[in-house]
Amino acid sequence: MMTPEDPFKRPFPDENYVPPDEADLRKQALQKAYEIARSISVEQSRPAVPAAPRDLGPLLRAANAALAVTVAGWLWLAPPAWLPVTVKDQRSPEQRSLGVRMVLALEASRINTFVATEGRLPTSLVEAGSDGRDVRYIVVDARRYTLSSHDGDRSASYDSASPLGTLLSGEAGR
Amino acid sequence: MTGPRSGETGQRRMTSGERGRPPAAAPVSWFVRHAARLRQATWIGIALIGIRLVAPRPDGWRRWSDAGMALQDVEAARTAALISYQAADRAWPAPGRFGQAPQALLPFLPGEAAFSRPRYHLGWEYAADSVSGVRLIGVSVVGVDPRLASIMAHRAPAGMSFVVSNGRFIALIASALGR
Repeated sequence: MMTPEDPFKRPFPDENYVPPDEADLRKQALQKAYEIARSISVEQSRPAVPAAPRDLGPLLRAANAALAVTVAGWLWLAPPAWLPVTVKDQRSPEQRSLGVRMVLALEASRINTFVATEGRLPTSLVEAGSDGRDVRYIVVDARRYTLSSHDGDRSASYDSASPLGTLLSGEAGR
Repeated sequence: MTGPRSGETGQRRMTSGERGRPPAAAPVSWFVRHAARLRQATWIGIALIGIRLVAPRPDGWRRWSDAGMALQDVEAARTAALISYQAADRAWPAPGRFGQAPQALLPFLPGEAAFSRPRYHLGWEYAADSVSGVRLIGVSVVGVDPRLASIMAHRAPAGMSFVVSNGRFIALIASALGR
């Protein structure tokens, strides 16, 4: 659409002036644009942007991933001493049996000490100073008592009429 | 008008495909290409760390802490007993009540050691058979949590002799098999 400022419709003082053909002008413009475009290489056509600062994001992301995976592996595969772990009871039957007999021997010694101090048998293991857990204490008479306990499938008993050494050596109470 | 022909100049010209897309970028680094995987690995690692820390639950953490503290108390009692044995003309204290340190050990126990704690008690053990000569000297630990003994056994130092039975941890200080 032509406007009043259109150069092709503008009146000229020279009457001999012949306005150029619009098609020729367009052709010349296109030819010029083509020549300019041909002279531009691929490298020159790239926008001249300043060198961007080095992006450390990917490196930081990789470092975070490596750190997280390493710490997770450390905690799961080689846990440090401060980290609780699940402990399974790996005691052998013999160790269980020895433990039960040792507990009975220690409780018997505690009762004997009480007897030596008080002159009588304690009414309970707690009175003798024990925690009284998992050990059965039976007073047979004024000077005789029995102890029994078990740990899993292993059990032991002790009669105060027999020496403590037989209990610890495993000769009694099996 | 003649169309552009390639090879007319020494410089390479843009093809129509190159004009349609952004300028050729520099080679993309491995970190950029695998950014999504790296992000996933980070979150998986964080999740595993969280699960590992939460898995023992509060009672597991408490038991673990108590076991460490109880072992320190046992070690302090053991040291005090050995010093007392030497100082008291080579005599071991008589068995005491749970939660109470024998009088003979008190002068040699460090201030931070105790036989009675809120969640466990220590007991001085001394069993001797005059007939056979068998002797057993040690320190027992009984906790409110019956699994404390097994944790103590797991955390016990390499040089400590101990026996675990029915939730009781017995650290042996000395023993004799008798005559």
